[in-house]
Amino acid sequence: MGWPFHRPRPRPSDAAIARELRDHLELEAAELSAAGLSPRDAERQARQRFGNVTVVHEDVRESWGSLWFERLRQDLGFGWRVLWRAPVFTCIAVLCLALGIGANAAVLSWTEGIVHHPFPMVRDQARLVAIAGTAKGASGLDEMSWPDFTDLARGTSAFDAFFVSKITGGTLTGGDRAQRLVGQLVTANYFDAIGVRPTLGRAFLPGEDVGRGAHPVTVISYRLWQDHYGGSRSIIGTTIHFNGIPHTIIGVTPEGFLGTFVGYAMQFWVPASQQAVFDATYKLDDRAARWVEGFARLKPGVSLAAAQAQINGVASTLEAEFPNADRGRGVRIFPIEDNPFDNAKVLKPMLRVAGIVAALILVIVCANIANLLLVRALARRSELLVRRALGASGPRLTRQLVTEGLILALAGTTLGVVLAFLSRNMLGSFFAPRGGATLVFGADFHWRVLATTVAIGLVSTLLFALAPALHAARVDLATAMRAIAPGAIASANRLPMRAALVIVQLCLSVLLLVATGLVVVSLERLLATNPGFAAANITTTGIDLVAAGYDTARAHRFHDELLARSRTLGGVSSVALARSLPFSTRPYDNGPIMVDGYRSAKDEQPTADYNAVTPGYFKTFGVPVLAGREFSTADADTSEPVAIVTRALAARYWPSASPIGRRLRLRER
Amino acid sequence: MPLPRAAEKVELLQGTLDMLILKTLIFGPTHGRGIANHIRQTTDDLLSVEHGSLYPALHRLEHAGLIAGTWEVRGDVARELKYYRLTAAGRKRLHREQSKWNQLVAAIGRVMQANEGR
Repeated sequence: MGWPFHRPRPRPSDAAIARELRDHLELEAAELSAAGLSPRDAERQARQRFGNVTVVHEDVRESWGSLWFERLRQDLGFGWRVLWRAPVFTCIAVLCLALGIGANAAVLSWTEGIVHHPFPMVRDQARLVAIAGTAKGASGLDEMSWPDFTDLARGTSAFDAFFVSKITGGTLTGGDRAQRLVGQLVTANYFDAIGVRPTLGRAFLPGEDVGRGAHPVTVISYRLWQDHYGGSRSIIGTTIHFNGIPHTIIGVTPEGFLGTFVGYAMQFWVPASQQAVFDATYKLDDRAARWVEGFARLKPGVSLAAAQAQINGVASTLEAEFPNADRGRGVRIFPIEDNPFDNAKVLKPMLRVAGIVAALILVIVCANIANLLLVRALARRSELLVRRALGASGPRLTRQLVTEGLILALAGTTLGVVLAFLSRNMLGSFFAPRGGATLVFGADFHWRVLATTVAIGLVSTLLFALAPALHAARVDLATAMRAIAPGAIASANRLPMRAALVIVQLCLSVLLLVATGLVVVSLERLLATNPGFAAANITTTGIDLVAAGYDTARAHRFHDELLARSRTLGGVSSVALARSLPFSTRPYDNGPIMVDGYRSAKDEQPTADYNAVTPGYFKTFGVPVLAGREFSTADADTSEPVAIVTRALAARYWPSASPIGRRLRLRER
Repeated sequence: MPLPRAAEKVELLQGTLDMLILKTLIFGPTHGRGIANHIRQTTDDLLSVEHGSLYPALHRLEHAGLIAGTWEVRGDVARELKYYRLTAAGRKRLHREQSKWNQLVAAIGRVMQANEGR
């Protein structure tokens, strides 16, 4: 008899369903003709009573479980054939979409690679924070001193690890030519803290960052290893000269690791104990010398605010303990997205603008394709009508058209991601090389980026395919049939949606053009902005005598000779030397100052940026000296020390009097 | 306000078609056409089942294992037709639906027959 248990039964074949329905019609027709109708009338009436056999057939099939997959396959197959038959339309649509979606994917992957996940191969970047110093009364941020940083690391418990990575440059000598390299001065725990293991050799050992010049060892990058040493495994233990000082190569980083400074692919790493090799002064014992770019990793579950509170506690202890160096100083931590040190902070606003532009482009693309689809819908009117008349439901047709849109979006998204991937390293080429090193901005195709891109593709499908599809499916059969009768084609202006789309497209394009124009104009303005000195006709160069092994006396003689000889060159009107150039990678020195007649608040520590220059500096740069005099050759080591201050410094410390003849002093120097 | 001519044709209540099919099959196996006819005849043409919903419903019940369909030759028609019969699970379900239905009718009847001003 019946089934004791519910057993899943196979769905009857289409033939069986058709046969059952046909049997029904025949039985009914037989009954009707038995009641006196002619066989033809009986059959017709039976059909009429039954309704649309195809629709009932589909409903019966649907009773056996969802058919969406089968339908999707059907729709995909059909959509593919339709698109294949219109290759020009399909190519244009896919290319437009690829550009629109690719632009978004590129901006997303750059944002991921520069802002959210800036250091390739470094682990747990979500918990990484950057540590910067603050000074009371100063708006900006600065670095920390080495002693302050190590005290901070010792005094807090909210972090797994503290490490330093300070960008520096070195001249690689040896062989027939010198080569400029970028590298980082790091704490000994650097590679452990970021979770990067050398592919060859070892990382730094604990204690290698202590003692002036005590540990001349270096880990070099995979690229430098390949380019300079041909990937030889025997380089471990060999010597490399940085600024003339020999260092032993102890390790090679894995391929793809770039260090921890957005914008540059680092080529070497040295322990902080070697700091003086790369700078004029040794700063590891100097609490007032602020140069450390510090990072730390939060312990899991510790909030930024809690960590900051702990940091504040240590900072005020330091302030009380070392008032000379740390009065008025604080420490702030930043999530890695807001890293104040590297080039990411410059790119962030640019990426935001680029994101808006990319989104606008995509909207225009969608409007464009929606328009094309509407035109096509007009051309396919008869096809759609016939399918409606044969019993395809409105929703079914909508689904078919949306599926066609999905195929386009899928192709566009794939091609777009490929385009974005191919241009992943192009961002750096928009910037001029700095300090001899090309800038590197890597994109990161994290799954988040890919998922968002796919979502963008789907949303754009909704944008461009849904409206035309709904429009096509809403056809009123009777009037449409009448309109189509003598081969008439509806004119475009009968479609208000098309007109609206054209207007949207036009408006957005104009908007985009205006925005682009504004960006170009402001860039031009930026270039034309008067920086306070005459940049035209000035040629600059850099020399590193420390690196070349000069002592102070010889360096002085070299400087004098250089100035004297260059002055006599034809076409040279003035010459000067300076320790730092405006807007160069080498920052101005910064230090605490004591100012005559200025009573600082109890918790305030006046500081100033300063630069050492030769006579003729202001004349050469065309900077007017507002009061007093320029430096002269009479201002020598043996004469009374003199200084020139900016108007801003004078206004701050001597607001009501002339600064000429007043005195200030660089403290602890 | 005059009532619409409701007496001529009654819409099937939502969800009752399944119950009617099960009840029809308790008298023995029959084909789709037979079920439709039976419902129409027992209700004196008051209820007529839309074919558009009858066959999907039959297949839904078959899929759920409440009825079973087999192709066979039976009775007056000299060819194979798809005959449906009640399964044990279908019989159980019918009893349950029937008692629920009786309760519902009784409950609605009580409300509808309540005296005014009580």
